[in-house]
Amino acid sequence: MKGRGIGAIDRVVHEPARLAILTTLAVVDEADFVYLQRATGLTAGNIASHTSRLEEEGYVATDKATGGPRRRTVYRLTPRGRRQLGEYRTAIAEILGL
Amino acid sequence: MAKLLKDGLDRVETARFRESWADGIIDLGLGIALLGMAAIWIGAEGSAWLASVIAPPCVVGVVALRARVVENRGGYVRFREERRRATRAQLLAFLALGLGALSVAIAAWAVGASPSETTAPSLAPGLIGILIAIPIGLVALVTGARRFAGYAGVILGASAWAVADDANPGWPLTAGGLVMAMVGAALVARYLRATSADPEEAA
Repeated sequence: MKGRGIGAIDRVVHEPARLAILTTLAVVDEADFVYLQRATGLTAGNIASHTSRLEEEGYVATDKATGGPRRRTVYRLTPRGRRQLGEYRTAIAEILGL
Repeated sequence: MAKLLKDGLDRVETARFRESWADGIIDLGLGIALLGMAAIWIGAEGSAWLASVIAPPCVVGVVALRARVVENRGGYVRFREERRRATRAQLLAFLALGLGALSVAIAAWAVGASPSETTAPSLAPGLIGILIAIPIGLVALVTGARRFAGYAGVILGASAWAVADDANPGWPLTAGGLVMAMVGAALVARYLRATSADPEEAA
């Protein structure tokens, strides 16, 4: 293996639920809590805890939107989150020989 | 490898975008609009121009209603700018093409129905169906929802029958409208079962 190998895997990204959230956010500009729940199939509790972790790491930014019939939390990938996801994909591809 | 990875995310984006049209509201709305237009053609042939008047508000109303329902139940998502721009342009082109097709069909029908027409077989009975099937088929390209190509196929088949049988142009629209409305109703029912009217966010 020529690359940096297993050590280059970001464990924050590597967790399956967080990976699903990051991948979903990577292909859209922004999405709310309910959309993330439907797109990933995760429970509300899982979404809340994993997005909090991603926010702490600076991978995801959130906005609380109060317009409309209900309160809405909108998420989007930060430049740092996008970079980390890209590096994760590169590392995984190297390990798998893709 | 970079291309492989980019292709992977592009596939995810395409799948997400395609899923975002799975609610069936467009199918149901356009199906009902087609049935309304068919009723005008069959019941009040002299007022066929009315069909082109009711079509635009129907389409705009369905799109607006869909945005409210889907956002409220299925969640809010904003796709990438390039995707949104392309979709907007394609849907506007679809609307313009549909209206143009309808106007041409009405004009052709008026000419075909005039007393000076020869006895040669006329395409007029199927023309409106053929012209409306084209933009409906194009919706399949815009949204990635292949069922719209199927609807277009139904309308084209019924239009061929209308030409062969010299039937009223409203019947191909009835066939297409019925299929669209029924499939749409089934999809809407499935969507409503799968989503909550008042989704809760975890604190």
